[in-house]
Order: sequence, then C-alpha cells, then structure tokens
Amino acid sequence: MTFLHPWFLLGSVLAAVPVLIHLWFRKRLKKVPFSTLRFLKSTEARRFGWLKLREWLILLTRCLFVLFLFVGLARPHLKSTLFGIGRLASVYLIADNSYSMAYGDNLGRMKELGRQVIARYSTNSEFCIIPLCEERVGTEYYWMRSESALHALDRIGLAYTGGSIREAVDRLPEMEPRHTVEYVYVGDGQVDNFRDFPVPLSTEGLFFWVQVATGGNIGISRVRLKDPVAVPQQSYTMQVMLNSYSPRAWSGKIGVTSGDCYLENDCELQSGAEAIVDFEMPVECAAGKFEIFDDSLLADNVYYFMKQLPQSMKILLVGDSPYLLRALQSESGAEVPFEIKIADRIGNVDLRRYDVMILAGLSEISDGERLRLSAFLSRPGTGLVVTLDDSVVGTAGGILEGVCRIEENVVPKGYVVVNWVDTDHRVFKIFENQRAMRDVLFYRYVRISAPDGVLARFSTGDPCIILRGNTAVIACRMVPSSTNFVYKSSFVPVLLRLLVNFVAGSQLTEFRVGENVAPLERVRTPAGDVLASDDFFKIPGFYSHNGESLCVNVEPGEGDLRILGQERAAILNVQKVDPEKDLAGSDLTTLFLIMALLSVFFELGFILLR
Amino acid sequence: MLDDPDNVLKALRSFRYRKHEVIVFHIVDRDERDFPFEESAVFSDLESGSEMVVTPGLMRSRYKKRFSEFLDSCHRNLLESHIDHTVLDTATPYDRALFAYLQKRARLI
Repeated sequence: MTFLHPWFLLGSVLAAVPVLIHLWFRKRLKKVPFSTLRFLKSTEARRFGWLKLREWLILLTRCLFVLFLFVGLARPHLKSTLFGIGRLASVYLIADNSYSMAYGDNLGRMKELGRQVIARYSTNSEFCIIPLCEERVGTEYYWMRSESALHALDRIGLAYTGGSIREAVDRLPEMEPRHTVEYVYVGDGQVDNFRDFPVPLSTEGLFFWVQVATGGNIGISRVRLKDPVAVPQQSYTMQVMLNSYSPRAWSGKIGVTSGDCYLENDCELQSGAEAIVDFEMPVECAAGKFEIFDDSLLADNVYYFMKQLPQSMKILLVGDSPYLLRALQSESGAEVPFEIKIADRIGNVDLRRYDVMILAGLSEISDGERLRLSAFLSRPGTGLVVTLDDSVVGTAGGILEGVCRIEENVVPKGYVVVNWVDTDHRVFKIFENQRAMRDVLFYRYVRISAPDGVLARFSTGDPCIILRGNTAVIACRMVPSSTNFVYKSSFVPVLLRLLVNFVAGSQLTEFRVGENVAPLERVRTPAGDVLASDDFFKIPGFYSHNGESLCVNVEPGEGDLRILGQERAAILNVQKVDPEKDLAGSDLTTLFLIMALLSVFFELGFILLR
Repeated sequence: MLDDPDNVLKALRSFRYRKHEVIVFHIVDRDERDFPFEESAVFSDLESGSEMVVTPGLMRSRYKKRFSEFLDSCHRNLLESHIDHTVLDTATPYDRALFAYLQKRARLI
C-alpha cells in the first residue's frame, strides 16, 4: 500500500487519545466507600459483562475512527485491485485524434479504450482530456471528474492533421493536479506522434500508452503537373505520387474526377515504395480530386487539386527586337498562348493589361517609369525579362537593383558557350540528361553577378541567365551580332518556359489542413461557412476565396502508420498497457473514510444501546 | 444485616429461643437507600474491599428495587421469628430515633 500524503499517517497516533482519555478519567474517578457492592453486582449481574464489553467497544470504535480518518486522509492506494476500486491519480488523457485515426473505426476504438482507461480510476481521480491535435485554437483544458471526462472524450472529433504528444503537453492546464500525475496516451502510436518527446515525461512521470491497433496504408502524398512550365494545347499530364506505408504489396485503382470527366489507372506498389502515376488530362479538367480505392485510411486517399494551366498571356515587348518577336509568334500559324504588344518605351503604356514585360535592351528609364515598373511587378503572376546590351553598363542599375549587379561589357576573343544550366530548375528541366545549348555561341555579353538564382553560366563562369523573384535577366542581347542563340532550336523553348514560369507561379500555392487562413480573408469552407482570418483549415476539400477555389489536403506524412517500436518506447519510458490488465490499482481513500464514518455510527449505537 | 442473611437470622433466633426479646435496629444510610450518585465513580465495598466502576444513572432504578426487596425480605423474616425490625436512617439522631421507637412501643402496650 502506498500513500499520496503519507504525513497524514502521523495523525493516526491520535488513535491513542481515546485510550489515554479513558485511562485518565478512570484514574480520576472518585472513590466512593459503599456499604456493599452486593446489590450493585446482583442488580447488574447479567448486564455487567455486557456493560464492560460495551465500554471497550466504544473505546475501540473511537480509536478506529481516528485511525481510519487519518489513514483515509493520507490517500492510501493499493497496487492491486480490491473490490473493483480504481486507481487514484490526476490523469492527463491524451486522445489521438490525428487523421491516422480515420483508419477503419480507430477513432471510435480510441474512445472506447479511453472510456476503459477512465473506468480504471477511482471517483476521486481527476482527468484532463487533451486531444492530440487541437480542434480549436486557444481551447482551455481543465481538470474534471470522470463523468465529465467521458463527455469530453465523446466530443473529440477527427482533426485531419498530424499532431505530437509534445504539442499536446504544451496545452496542459495551469491548474495544479491534486494527485500523482499519470499520462495516458490512447492512440495508434505513430512514430511522428512521439517526436520531441518531453524529457520530464520520460524521466519523472508515468507515461502509459494504450495502443489502438492499425495496419498498412497507401497514401497520395502529392499531385503535380508533370511539366509546370509547358503550355498545354489539348491535354496535359498530372502526376500522382503515392507512398506505401504498408508491410504488404498493394495493387489497386486510382481515379480522378473532374467535373463530368473520370479517368482511372491501375497501380501496383511494393511495401514501403513510392510510385508516380501519370494521368493524361484534357485541358478543360483543371480541378478535381484523385482517389485511391480499396485502402483503409480514407483521409489520405483523396487529394483535391486545382492547377492553373497557362493558356493565355499578355506580353509587352519594349524595344526593337525582331528575333524575340519572331520567337513569340508562331511561324506555322498555329495558335500561340501569347498576345503581344510592342512599344518603344514603357512611357504611359497601361501596364495593368499585361502579364509579362520584356525589355529588349535596357536604355535609360525615367523615375516615373521605374515606379510604374515596380508597381507592375508587385502584382502576383507578373514577370519581367530583361536582355542586356552594351549600353546598360553604368546606366540601368536602378530597376535591377536587388536582382543582380551589372559589372562590365565582355567581348571575348571569338566566342563563349554556355556550359552549365540548372536542370533541376523547372525552366531547364527539359534539358535534363542532355548537353543543352551546347552549340549556342555568344560573341559579346555583359558581366553580371548575383548571390543566387543563376540558371545558366558561360564557360567563363559568368552568369548567362539569372532568375530571381519574378525578374529574369539574360546577359546578352538577342540579336545575331551578339549571339547565334536566336537561330537555335533551344531558343524558343527556353524563352517560352521562362515566360510561362512567371504565370505558373500560382500553381505552387497549396494548402494543408491545419494551416492558418490568414492572410486570406472571407474564405468559405466546403459547407459554405465563412472562416475568420485567424481560423485555420480544418477539413480537406475545396474552399472558396473571392470566387476562386482553394484546394486543401491533409498532410501526407501523417499517413505513415509506422508505430513506435519497443526499444524506442523503452528509451522514452513509455509503458504500453492494456487498460483491463495493467491499470490495476485501488484508491482506498473512500473506503477508509466510510469506515471512519461507520465507526462513528457504531459508537453512537453502543452509547445508545444500554 | 449485610452479612449472610441466613446466618444472621439463625443467630437472632437463638436469642429469641432463650426467651430474650430481640429488637433489630437496621441502620441504613440515605445513600444506600436512594442511591443519589450522579457521576461515574469507583465504588469500594467496605466489607470486602473490592471495587467496581459504576455509572449510577444506569443502575439506580434496579439497585433501589433490589435494596427495597432486601429490606422487605429482612422485615418479613424477622417478623416471622417474632423479632422486631425497625429501619433507622443515619441522618436521624439515634436518641431521637430510639425515643420515637420507645413511644411507639409504649402505645402498643
């Protein structure tokens, strides 16, 4: 037997007080000389024994009252089960409501196990029910009795986000617990849930883990455009990335629904493998959802997508550059996604009508033009391409400030070539595994430098193309006297992909459940409710914002259902328990207090019984 | 009279057999008769010296009944043996009690 407040046991010595009082009064009893005790004895002969016994019983009940009272106040606790009395503790019950609990009926199973845990504790215990993933920001948690704890447990819903015990523990109530603290985590025990596990829990507290069994899972981790800077004509390719978190091989179907369009592909996936499945989509189908069928964790089986396909761009070409103009216009008469306007200067051209501006050669720009250019570039989905010529040195630092530094004109003996391109970048990804632009010669260029964003370099090491933010700088003017690039087959693709890159930037915007809605305002949920600016995305699906759709998906990592191993659990001092078998214990407080009360009743009974 | 009642009666009868007139003045203390004690106390037997813790409130009525029965028994047995039995209270001066007895006896003669 252990005691929560053992110092109360010192009070049990007060059980001797009734005995001392008894002896004290007995000693102080007046001595009365009497003629004979015969009549007293004969009078009470039959009752005398009973009275003597009664006197001792009263004394005994008084002693027991004091003893039981102080033992009860010391909060006795037995490590085994006695009369079905439960454990005594202040229990932080961390309920796993992360979206991995959408596996089968695991959320319901978690609640059932949580109820079993609560039932193992005595009515004197207190509980704090903390969902692993916070359902509402700023929710306050507090200690409660078992009945309220059961209600709180029932109210917990699936969070569609990942969570960790660390974050849950950070939300513990400020109010001090009244008993010995025990932590009980009820959940599937994903490895990720134990990240940054608080050291005090593994060294000081009792941390129990009631496991909710789980299994393998296949999840869609991402959906993307195969070539995000290509301009699709009839169709485009979407890539669905799948991850297997299952110990078994999986084969099933993946379907995509977009409006009235439905496509389906078969897929086979080995245990622990990744796979990419291509879907050839018609250009009309830019939004919809991908689904895996025949898999158990439903939450990550659906992926909502909306890709803005570059279809039409308005381009302002400033300066005289017939080669650039020719590259942007289709010679064969095929439809091109560009609407081009030509201007000598920026001047008073209404820049709001254009998506991309090309400055062919950088001449003097007035302060007013510079301001208008800055305003133009501050709009999302806009871009600027600048080709530099000799005259720029010393004059055009202004608009390229923050992008690159212009140093000097370089006229090599003969020519230089481009011997490196960044094939990891989506603009040059098409040149992967081939020596791109190897036959392009440059007769003169402007030496520029930038800390990052270099997409191509000359053989001299100087940057040829720099892309920083929504500004691209080409260190050479696109004319035959400077380069033969304008005659090469790579010229048009590079130029087009550079331009499309700017407007395709918004494709990168992707939301996850759990992310804050800010800075967007008046975002509507799939059910049509308006979210506050400090709220966050709670469920996956299509949200709307200013008439546009936002697709929100679950965090793919949570689909990894690998659980904490035994060795790691031992290191963290996490005890895996079965609530029915391993959470035995008896809080004897109430029992002892009831016995103290019974002692009082018995004493009164003995006093009244003559 | 608090000794063995049979032996006492036997001894008194022997006097009566020898034609003596025997008068028993049975002196009783008021405490003996009324048992007016209130607080629990250790009662000490003056004859045997034995002691007993007594709670008077619990015993009074039964004691008084038993004591009264004892006096009646003594009175009845002594009268049967033609022995006069008079109960005297220790609170009454013995000369006054004796005088009262003698006056009563003179009236009877």
